[in-house]
Amino acid sequence: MNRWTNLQDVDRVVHEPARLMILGILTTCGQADFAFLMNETTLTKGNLSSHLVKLEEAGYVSIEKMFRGKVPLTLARITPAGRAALLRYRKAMMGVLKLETA
Amino acid sequence: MQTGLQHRPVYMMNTTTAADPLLEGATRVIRAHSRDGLAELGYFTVFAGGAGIAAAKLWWPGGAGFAMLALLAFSFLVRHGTDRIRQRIGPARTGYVGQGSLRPSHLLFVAIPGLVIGLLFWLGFEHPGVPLLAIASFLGGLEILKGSYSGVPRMAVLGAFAIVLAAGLALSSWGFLFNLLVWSAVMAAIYLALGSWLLWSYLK
Repeated sequence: MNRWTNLQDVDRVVHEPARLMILGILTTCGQADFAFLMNETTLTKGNLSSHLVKLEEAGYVSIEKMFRGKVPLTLARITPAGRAALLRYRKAMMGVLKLETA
Repeated sequence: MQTGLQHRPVYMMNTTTAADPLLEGATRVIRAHSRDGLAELGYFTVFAGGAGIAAAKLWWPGGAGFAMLALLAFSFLVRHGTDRIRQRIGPARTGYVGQGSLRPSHLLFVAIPGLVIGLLFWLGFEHPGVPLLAIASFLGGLEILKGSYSGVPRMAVLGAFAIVLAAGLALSSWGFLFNLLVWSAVMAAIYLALGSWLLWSYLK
């Protein structure tokens, strides 16, 4: 199959760089709070928030808002679907790269 | 601010130089976990318990066997304890990062040899204890050494130290209990010093 055809099949929700970073981190740690994701991705609050909403809408991440004492805490957790989507995306991209270098 | 990482997927398609999102994510999580020293304090507790058991077995054999099983259970539960503490101290500082699930490599390198040694020790088979302890220390050292690739240089020193200790154990003519006592006490002292310093630096 042509590598460009393969590229058309990649999950566009995962393919966006910011969302790819978020999923990459959450796949390892399972869950992280908003502050950590913001520090690691260097996204702005609004930008990170909108990407998390998109991932939540796709069912790849679940968001839980709570209070730790008087401090609000937003926890993002990866779902099994999110983990599977990232692994599928990784496999697809590796397939494309292998075809190009072959 | 744009980071290099944000451009990498595009770069990846243009040049076939791949940045693995899983590896990048794991690197950042390992670095985050290495900031607060809680992992080191957890290891300190496990090694201090090991030293205590070796000492106790000399005076109370039955109790030492029970304590060893309790220590093995604790070495699994310490992850949850660490996670609870991180939930409390993390958000106000660098942010909270979860513990993640127990990776198969951890089980293979650390838990399974530990369980086998514990079981043999408990059943009274002390002769294979020293070589097994040396193997466990060597494999544990390799696992720690692997972490240094994630940008935490002190893991290279700790891993190398565990491997040197493994060689010392293998060549030692001491008895099993004394070996276990010395090995655990040295490792506990190192992890206590390192963990305390890191936690103090993180909290101040």
